[in-house]
Formats: sequence, structure tokens, C-alpha cells
Amino acid sequence: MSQGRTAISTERLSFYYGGMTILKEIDLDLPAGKIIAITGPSGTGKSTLLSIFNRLWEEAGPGRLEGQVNLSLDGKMVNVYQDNYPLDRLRRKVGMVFQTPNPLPMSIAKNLAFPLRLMNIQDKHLVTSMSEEMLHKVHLLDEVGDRLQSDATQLSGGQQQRLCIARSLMLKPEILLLDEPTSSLDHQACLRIEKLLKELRGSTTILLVSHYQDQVQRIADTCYELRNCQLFRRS
Amino acid sequence: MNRIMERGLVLFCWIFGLLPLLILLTVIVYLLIRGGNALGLELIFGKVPVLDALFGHRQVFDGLLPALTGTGLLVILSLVLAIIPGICGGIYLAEYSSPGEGRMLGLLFDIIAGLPSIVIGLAGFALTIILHRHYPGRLGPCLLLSAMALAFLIVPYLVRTTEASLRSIPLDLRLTGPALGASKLQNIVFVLLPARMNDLIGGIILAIGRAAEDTAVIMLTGAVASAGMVRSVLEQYEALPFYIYYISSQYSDAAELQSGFGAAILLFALCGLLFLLAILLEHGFSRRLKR
Amino acid sequence: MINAVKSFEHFCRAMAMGSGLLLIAILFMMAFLGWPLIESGRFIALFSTEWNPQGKSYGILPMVMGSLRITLLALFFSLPMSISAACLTELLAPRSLRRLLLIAIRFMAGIPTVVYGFVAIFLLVPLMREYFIQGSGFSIITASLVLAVLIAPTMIIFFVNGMQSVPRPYCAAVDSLGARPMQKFVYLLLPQAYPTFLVGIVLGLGRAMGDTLISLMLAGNSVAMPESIAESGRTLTAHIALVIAADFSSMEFTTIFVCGLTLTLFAICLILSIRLLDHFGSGRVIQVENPRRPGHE
Repeated sequence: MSQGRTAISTERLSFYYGGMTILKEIDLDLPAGKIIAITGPSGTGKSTLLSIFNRLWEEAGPGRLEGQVNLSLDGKMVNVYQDNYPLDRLRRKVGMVFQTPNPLPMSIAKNLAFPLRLMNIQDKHLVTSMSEEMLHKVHLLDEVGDRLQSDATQLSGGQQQRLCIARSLMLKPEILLLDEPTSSLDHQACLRIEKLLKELRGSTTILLVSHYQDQVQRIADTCYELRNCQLFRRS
Repeated sequence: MNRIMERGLVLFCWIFGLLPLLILLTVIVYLLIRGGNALGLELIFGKVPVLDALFGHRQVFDGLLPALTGTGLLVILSLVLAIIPGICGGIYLAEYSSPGEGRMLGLLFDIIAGLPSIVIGLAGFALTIILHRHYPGRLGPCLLLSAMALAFLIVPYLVRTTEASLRSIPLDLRLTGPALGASKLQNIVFVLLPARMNDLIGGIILAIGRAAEDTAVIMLTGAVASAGMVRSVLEQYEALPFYIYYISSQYSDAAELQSGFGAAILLFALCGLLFLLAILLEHGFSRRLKR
Repeated sequence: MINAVKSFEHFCRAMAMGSGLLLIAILFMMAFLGWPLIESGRFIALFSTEWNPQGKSYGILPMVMGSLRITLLALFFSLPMSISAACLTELLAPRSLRRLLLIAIRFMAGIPTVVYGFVAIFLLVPLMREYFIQGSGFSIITASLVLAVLIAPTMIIFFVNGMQSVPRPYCAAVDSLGARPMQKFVYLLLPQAYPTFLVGIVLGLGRAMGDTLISLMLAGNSVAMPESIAESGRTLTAHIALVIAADFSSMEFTTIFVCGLTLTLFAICLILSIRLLDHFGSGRVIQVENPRRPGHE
């Protein structure tokens, strides 16, 4: 992927949700293949902001969005709210990792196979090889490779979160949205995930919400602060 | 599950899922079309002028007034009988009972709620038989008996509504009273009950609706096809749902059938309004007052 | 002050216990009244297939079969409608419509049973007579169709509650992976919420079994053993309503208390099985009769 390409751009984006104004008339231009952090005081709606890009807020409650949100998908810029881009395809291309790890109540292997099952990919060999590839990417293969049939909810917090990242990666997303992914983890686990994100940079655009300044310093290429419904760029 | 099966399932859901609502619409439209012209004062008061009928100067023979008043009195009486056991029972389950006791009582109330209503009517009828054997000529099927049976029918609803709404009170609100030095009783009366007054009233309204529409219980405990206006609670009486049932099998001419339709519309409207009221209470006001 | 507090508690306990004990008293009363039958040794004869009071045969088996058939058939017709409506309300319908759908369904639950029956007599029965079955149009299948509509709202609301109680994190995970609504239902909601679905089905069963008016008005009430569902049949509940007019002291009359006991035992079994399903399923106590939905006729 070439430098300087835009992954996400918005034009006069305003977003109202849950009785609050989250964003007012935002114009953004986010470069591809970088780690972009979003910080700001709590309660301003950073998590909700993230869900704009995979339209997940629509599942949760009434809200209103004005303006344009364009994402670079399959080499083309798509207006995800107006261009009739299929919702399920959007969410496969824009993966999401949540604040509290949410492995599904099934085995590790089934968790990883789940996204492929949604695409009706049932080929055992393909599923297994991809699962192993992603587990390797998140550095879990050596840790849990021998017990892939065991319950995913029995893993430690850090392992669960890495599993969730692996699960999203199974779909080879172009953009990865992470909502405070390390806030429920201990320091060691946190560093491991930060390392992982740095490795994913380049092939994936990473949008990260975090209120840890040191984390932002450590891994972000660009940082924005959400304040007064505006996004201010910081160094 | 491949794409074709998935699309098929979606189609299936749309067709079969809208079916109940289509049927509801059909029922409403049919009732209105077929029975709409029966609506009017004559339906209720027959040929008797309104004021004469209301003040009892003249008997209404071919109108629904006796049945309406019968149902009205029945519902009021059964509510009066049921409201204290219902709400206090619910308070007990939510606030006072131990887990074991609560489970056992809960099971008993679930069973009562799950009984076929005709069995409750049968029990009421059985009561008259036993009383008849020991005190002949005293208590027979009558309004009071129906009210008692109906009360028994609706107590589980009141208990469950009260219990559920009290249980839903968050801990911080629950502790407000005791933190200020209130006794448990004071807390219940001044803090907890007012906090869930909407739900309680909603539950009461639903119980009223249930009592008004019931036919099986009153069939066995005192409702008859023709008894005139209610004179005493120890006598048989007319009721709207029973009238509808009676007409459906025993109508002698077109006019009677029409009045049956009119009665059906009335009962439908009555229960529908009560239900909507309860739903509105829950959705609308709860946003303002609920904590 | 202490007195008032304590006595309120005692009062409430008395209310709660009293209602519970009343149930037990009722059971005893019915057993007592049905005792002559058991005593006279004709209890077994009850389960014969012929009901002919004149000929001294009091078999209630035709009525038991009638009840079973109507109930199972009603469930068969109602289940597709109920699950579909639940999926619509929770997953498929446009969001703005969902609340309206739910209110409409809850409204349906409050419609008087006798009104359903009344409309069906003049709307459905002629239809059945014309196009579908022989005879008068009053039959088991006619009653089952209407009963299916009657029990649907209860089941729908139960199914919707079940789907809504699947933990949010799982739903969020599945949504974010691009699951389409039906996929979410088949792969997540159903496997997670099936105990609640089962309880809803059992409740629908109970309500269908316990209904009197629909079968009384629509099923034909013949006492012969029903051969097919297109024939007239009689349920236990309708039987009680019809026999009540008979002479007090006759044996015929006593049988209705046995019918009542049978129905009560059946209801108790249903409730107990719900409790069992509940323990086996999620471990939480599922509230059986949701106060928002009135019961049955």
C-alpha cells in the first residue's frame, strides 16, 4: 500500500446519539496503514464515535448522522451511509475489538471459525490454516495451540483480547477499530497487544481509542482529541 | 446454512410473522363492518329512554345495560377482593420472604396462574355444592361467588406484578429510606411503592382487563343469559362476555345477532382500551417518573 | 412503631400463605366431590371411550383425546407464526416499526377470547365448511386454528424476551463480524436462548390446554372418539362447561370433578416441568406468567 493514501475521510460529519451531540461538522482525512489514536475526556462518546465507521451504533439505539463518511474499501472510496454498500460486507472489511474482550461462548477453534462460517466458508483445511495463521500473528499459537478445543472464556483477559483480535483478522479487514483494548488488562498483556498493533500497521489502518497517554505516545502515529464535539489534531 | 436457505427463512418469517397481525386486522375490520350499525344507545338501553333506565324507573329488557352493569360490578367487586391479598402478597415475596419460602410460594402462585380458568369456576361451583349440603338454600351461584372466583384468578397477576416491580428497584434507591432512619414498613410505604406506582397501576389495569373478559369462570358461578339489572350480590346476574357466548349459539333472529356483534365490539373496545392504557402507562409516563 | 412494622409483615405473610393454601383447599374440595366415583370402583371405567350417561358409561377418554389433539394441533399452527413474528420484531423489521409491532402483539394478548370465538363462528366456520372440510365446519381443526392465534402473542413475547436476554457482548461480537439477521438468529440467539424458547412453548401448551371458550364454540362438542381432525370433538374443558347443567347428585355430574382434577394435575405438571427446564437451562428463575400478559380462558 502506498504512503499518503486516505483510508478514512469525512465531510461535515455530524453525529447525534443517545441524546448527546457527539460530533459537529467534522472534516477528517486519515491516512492508510497508520495507527491513529483518539483520546479525550470520558463521556464524550469516543466509543460511539468509533462505531460510526462500521455502522454498529445502528444496532444499539436511535441516532442521527449527517454528512459523509467515506472509507477506502477494495481500492475505492465508498460512502458507507449513502452508497448502499452491504452492511455485512462493511463489517467484514472494518473489524472491531471491544473494551472488554468478548469471546463467544464456544471453543477457541470455533471462535476463529465463526467469521468464516458467516461467509459460508466451511472448508476444514482452509479454516484450520487461516486460524493457525491468525493465532500466530497474535502470538497465541504457542500458548494455546495445543488446546484449541477448550472453552475460549477460560483464557486469561489478555489472551481473550488477542483471540478477539485474531477473530477479527480472520476476515482480513482493511481497517481495524479498537475501543480501549487494553484498559481491562494488566501491563504485560497491554504491552503485548501494543506490540501486535505495531506489527499490523502497514497492512491495516488502525483506529485506536485510548485514554492512556503513555500508550498513545508509544504506538500512535497520529493523535486526535475529541473535545467539544470537535477532533483536534495533536502531535 | 447457505444464502438460499437464509433468504428463504427471511421470506418465511415475513409471511408467517405478519400473519397474526393480519388476523387481528381482519377481526377488527369484520367486527366493525358487520356489527357497526348495531352501535348506538339502543344497543345498551333497548327501547327505554336513557334517563329512565339509569334511574331504574323502567326495566331494560332488550338492551345490554344489565350485562354491562353486571360486568362492571363484578369487576369492581373482584378487584376489591383481590387487591389487598395481591399487592401484600407481592410485597411479602419481594421484601420479606426467605429464599426457600419465596420459591415455594412462587411455585404455588405459578400453579394458580397456570390453572385453566374453568377449573377455578368449577371450584367455585364446588363450594356451592358443599355449602348446599350443609346449609341448604343459602349460597348458590351468584355475583359474589363469581367475584370471589375471579379474585382468585387475578391474585397471581397482582402478586407477580408487585413482586417483579419491587424487585426491580435498584439498590441505591432501596437504601434511601433505611439510610435516613426509616423502618422497613416506612421504606416500603413511602419509598418503594411510590417508586413503582406506574407498574403497580399497570398491573391492576391488566388484572381488571382479565376479570372483564373472563367467561369460563362466570359461566359456572352465576352468570346467566337473562336476569335483569343487578339487585343483590347474592343473586344470579348478566355479564357481557357470557351474553356474547350465549348469543353465538342461541340467537333467534337477526336483531339478536346484531346485538351480539355490538356486544362483541363493546367488550373488545373495553379490553383494548384498558390494555392500551396499561401499555401507555408503562412506556409513556415511566420515562418521566421512573428512577 | 415496632408493632406496626411487625404486624404488617405478618399480614403480608398471611395474605401470601392464604392464597397458596386456598389452592390446596381447592384441590381437596374437588377430590372430595369426585370421591364417590373413585369409591364406587368405577374410576377405571372413566377411561373408557364411551360417554353415554343414559347408558351408564362415563368414559372421558374421548374428551382427553380431544383436548390433546386440539392442543397439539394449535401448537403446530402457532409455532411458525410465533417464531417468525419474534424474529421480525427483534431482527428483521425496520427499527422504527419494531416498537409498533411489539405494542400490536401485546395488544393482541388482551383481546377477549370470547370475541375471537364469536368472530370465528361467523367468519371462519363457513369458510371451513365451503372449502376445506365436510360437515358443519365446526371441528377440531377449526378450533385449533383460532387457538393458535390466541396463544401466539404469549409465545411471541416470551421468545422476544429470550432473544433480548442474550448477553450484549456476544451480540456485539457477532454483529461486528458482519452477521446478517438470520445468521445471528441461527448461530447465536437460538443456541443461547433455547431454554427460554422451550419454556415459552410449554406455556403456550398450557394455555391451549386450559382454554374453554374456543373449543366450546368451535370444536363441535360431539362425544364420539374423534377419528380425524376434520371431525367434531370435545375437550375436557368444554365437557365441564356442558355437563354442569346436569343433575347434581348423578354420577354424570361427579365425573366433571375428575375432569377438573385431571386438568389441574396437568397444569401442575406443566409448571413443574418449566421449573425443571429452568434449572437445567440458564440457572436463573424464569418468571413464568409475565404480569404484562394476561392468561387464558
